[in-house]
Amino acid sequence: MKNIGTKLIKKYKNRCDYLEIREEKFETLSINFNDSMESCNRYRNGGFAIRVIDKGGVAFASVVNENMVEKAIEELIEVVPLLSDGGVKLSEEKPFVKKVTLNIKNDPRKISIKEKREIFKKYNEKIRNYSEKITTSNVSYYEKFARTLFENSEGTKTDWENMDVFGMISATAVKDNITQRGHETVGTSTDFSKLLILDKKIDEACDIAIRLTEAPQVESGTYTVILDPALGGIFVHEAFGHTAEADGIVDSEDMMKIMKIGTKLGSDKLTIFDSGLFPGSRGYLPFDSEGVPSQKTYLIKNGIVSGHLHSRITAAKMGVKSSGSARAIDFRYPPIVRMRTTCIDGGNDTLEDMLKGIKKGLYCVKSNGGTGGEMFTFTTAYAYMIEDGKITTLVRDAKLSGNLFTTLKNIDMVGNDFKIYEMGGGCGKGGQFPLPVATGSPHIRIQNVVVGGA
Amino acid sequence: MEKIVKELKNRSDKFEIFHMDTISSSIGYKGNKLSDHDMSQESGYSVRFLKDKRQSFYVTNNFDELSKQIDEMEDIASVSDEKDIDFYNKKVDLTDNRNFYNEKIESFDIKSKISECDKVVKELNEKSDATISLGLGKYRDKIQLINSEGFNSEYFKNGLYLSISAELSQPGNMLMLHESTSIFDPDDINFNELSEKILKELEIAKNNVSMETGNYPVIFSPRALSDIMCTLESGLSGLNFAFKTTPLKDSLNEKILSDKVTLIDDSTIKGGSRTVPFDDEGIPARRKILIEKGVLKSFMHSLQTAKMTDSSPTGNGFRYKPIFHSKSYSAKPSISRANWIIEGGNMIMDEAIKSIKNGVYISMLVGSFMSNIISGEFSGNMWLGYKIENGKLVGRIKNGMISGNIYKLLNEQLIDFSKNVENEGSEYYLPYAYCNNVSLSC
Repeated sequence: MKNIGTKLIKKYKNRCDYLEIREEKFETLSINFNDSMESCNRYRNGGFAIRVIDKGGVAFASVVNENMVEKAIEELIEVVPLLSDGGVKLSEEKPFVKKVTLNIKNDPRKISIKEKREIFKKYNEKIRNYSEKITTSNVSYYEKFARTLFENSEGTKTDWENMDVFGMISATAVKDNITQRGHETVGTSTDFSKLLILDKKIDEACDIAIRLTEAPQVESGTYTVILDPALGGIFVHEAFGHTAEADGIVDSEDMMKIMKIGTKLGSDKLTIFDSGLFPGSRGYLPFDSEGVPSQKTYLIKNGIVSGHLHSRITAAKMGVKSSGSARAIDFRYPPIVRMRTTCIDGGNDTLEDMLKGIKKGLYCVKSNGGTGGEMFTFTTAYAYMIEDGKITTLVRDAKLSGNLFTTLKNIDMVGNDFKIYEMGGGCGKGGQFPLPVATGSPHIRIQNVVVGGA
Repeated sequence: MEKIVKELKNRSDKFEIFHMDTISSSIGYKGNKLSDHDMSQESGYSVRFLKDKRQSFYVTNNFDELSKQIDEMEDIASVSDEKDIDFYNKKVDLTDNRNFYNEKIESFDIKSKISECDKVVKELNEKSDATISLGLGKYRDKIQLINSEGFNSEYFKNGLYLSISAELSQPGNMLMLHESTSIFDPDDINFNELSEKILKELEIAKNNVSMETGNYPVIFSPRALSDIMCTLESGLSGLNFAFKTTPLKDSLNEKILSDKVTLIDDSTIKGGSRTVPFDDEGIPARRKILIEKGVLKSFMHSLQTAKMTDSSPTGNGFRYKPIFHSKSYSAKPSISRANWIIEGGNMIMDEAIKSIKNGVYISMLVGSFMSNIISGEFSGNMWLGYKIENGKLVGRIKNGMISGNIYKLLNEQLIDFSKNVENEGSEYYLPYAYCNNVSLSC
């Protein structure tokens, strides 16, 4: 690491209200088997991110070469007066100094690339040999080691070394021109050994792929649905999490009204929080990209808006403290408000009780992703019909959609079986993809959800 | 660079070096005010290294590291399964770069447009009461490709982009309109064009109407149509052809869509965002007909899939990162469309709308890429969809989802395409599509 932050901040801090320099170096290894094709890629990158805030304007630059950093600072200081109408300020935060070194079990770097490849090759072979009905296999492994030095003109100095690891497997089955996938995923920030026990998940993925090719397509319509904890987590991330990110709220008078603290948005049973404090989670964060220590932030308590996810800039606009949610995926980007481990808090209902009240509904399991907005949408990995309180037929291609505001109020039961769900890939807001995040949820039941059959 | 090339020549059987250097800058308005200025300089190298028909892919942004890491490149290749690939040294024409590089963009200072942007944002906000965001940016890429066949070429590509969003929300009713465009000449920056579109849609969108779940005649705007093109991109992918997972696997030279459909893949269009002199593997740019009057003429191939299937490379080897499709030296070459054109038909949009008693006009669709697209299935949220009643657009349909299968939508369900074809982000050039019996869930 070049560690030039201290020297440059000392030199330039008097020429602007605020200066920060973030230096990062990272290294990734990815191993991918796609049927008979494989690839093993090594990626090393490093550089600097600079932000200047002065008299209401904020300007950002990212450079790769160390000798361009000072030039970039000069250019930003020159340009930032043009932006002073932006009314940008930072929330007041105490200067914070912390160093976090790598604390992991089973360092994957101690395993040779050859051995690692063998592990994932075996998984791939297992999928390919599962059944003749399986036509394509996909096994992905990703590991990232990064070190980030951050320093600002207020005296905050942080140093974070971390690991991010995930694995994804999928099996595709084809029958009579119907193609279906089964997939499983695992992620961690501390324990590589989680990637060594995927055999059972492989069996499950292959089995469900085959069964889905023989399953009927779900009928489009409106249903009472039960989401399993994995899907509950994706739902809260997509359907509500993004809406609670303050950078989508503070610049809009309308959104400020809609998301005002004290507004009833959800049913009484609904409590949602976002936390950077779950150890070992991909959403774990000791402090964010602005040097603000991490926290557990309640967004909704018993249906009522109780907080938002903030960066220092958005927090200042609302007159509150930052929630430590400003994250930049790497040095090439400015920090923006992002989620960490986003959760629906556990409640008191049982799955049995949820099923009892349903004449015709859908029990939905896991997801392949979704998008947010007033109208959210997400795929389900698979679903079962619920008929007269019983889980019955497997159905395919169920995609759930709904209006955020009505749906949150239609959550009428929240389970007592809260679980954290770690997955691969990541969140893609603002092009900063894949940001490691995680989710948590119990089973939840929602009335009147629109289901599309493709 | 010569030193690295020499070393790679000695240590490998075949190799390829890709270098990309990007400078970009942008200004952003949020909440009706100028609030950000971003600048970025990015640079990096990737190497494909082959020995004994085994490959490895190495990426770094540190040039000095390249020669130090040849050992690791060889090491990773040695533990990989056999997967041969052929590189080519085809002649590329770099004498005329005016289709992808404009000098005027180089010397254009984004900051010079600030007062004009101020005016546009203020006017839009006053006329509509909506909260306005605006983004104006420019980029310049330098791309160099060298391979063991002797190919060694480089070019510069640049462009501008402008986007305007208007947000008007109340509890229970969030409305977000968004228009964006890629521009190839600073003189062509046309704020009024985007403003007018937004104001026009705001008028209709303010009025919410309900619609029953069912099947309807639907007109897709070029923008809505672009959201479901991922189904065809997946179906025409040489990789899915190699793995026999595309429903089109046995359909070469057979009719797969309505004879009204002609789809062209073109990396030569002036100002196209995917216009280049050669693809990211060195294959010269060209205009290629993929589907002609409904008949499948060609799949899209990268060098890898061309080798796997004994086909000729088609110049569709690009280095895009997943999901957001931004070009990067860190992305491994994979199959991607160049600029896509669907030829227009005979329909006049206004007449088509007038002829519909009870139907839908979709201005903007999102999320279709998450469906089972390889089988042609799509299902997207109608971000902006309008009810057509007795020949008129009467209001915005909220909470609707459209679903279907592209191999039926552009086949038996297709009534016609519009005469005019519109530039959609300079990467799609598409007409409006009038289709029958489309499934809507509300």
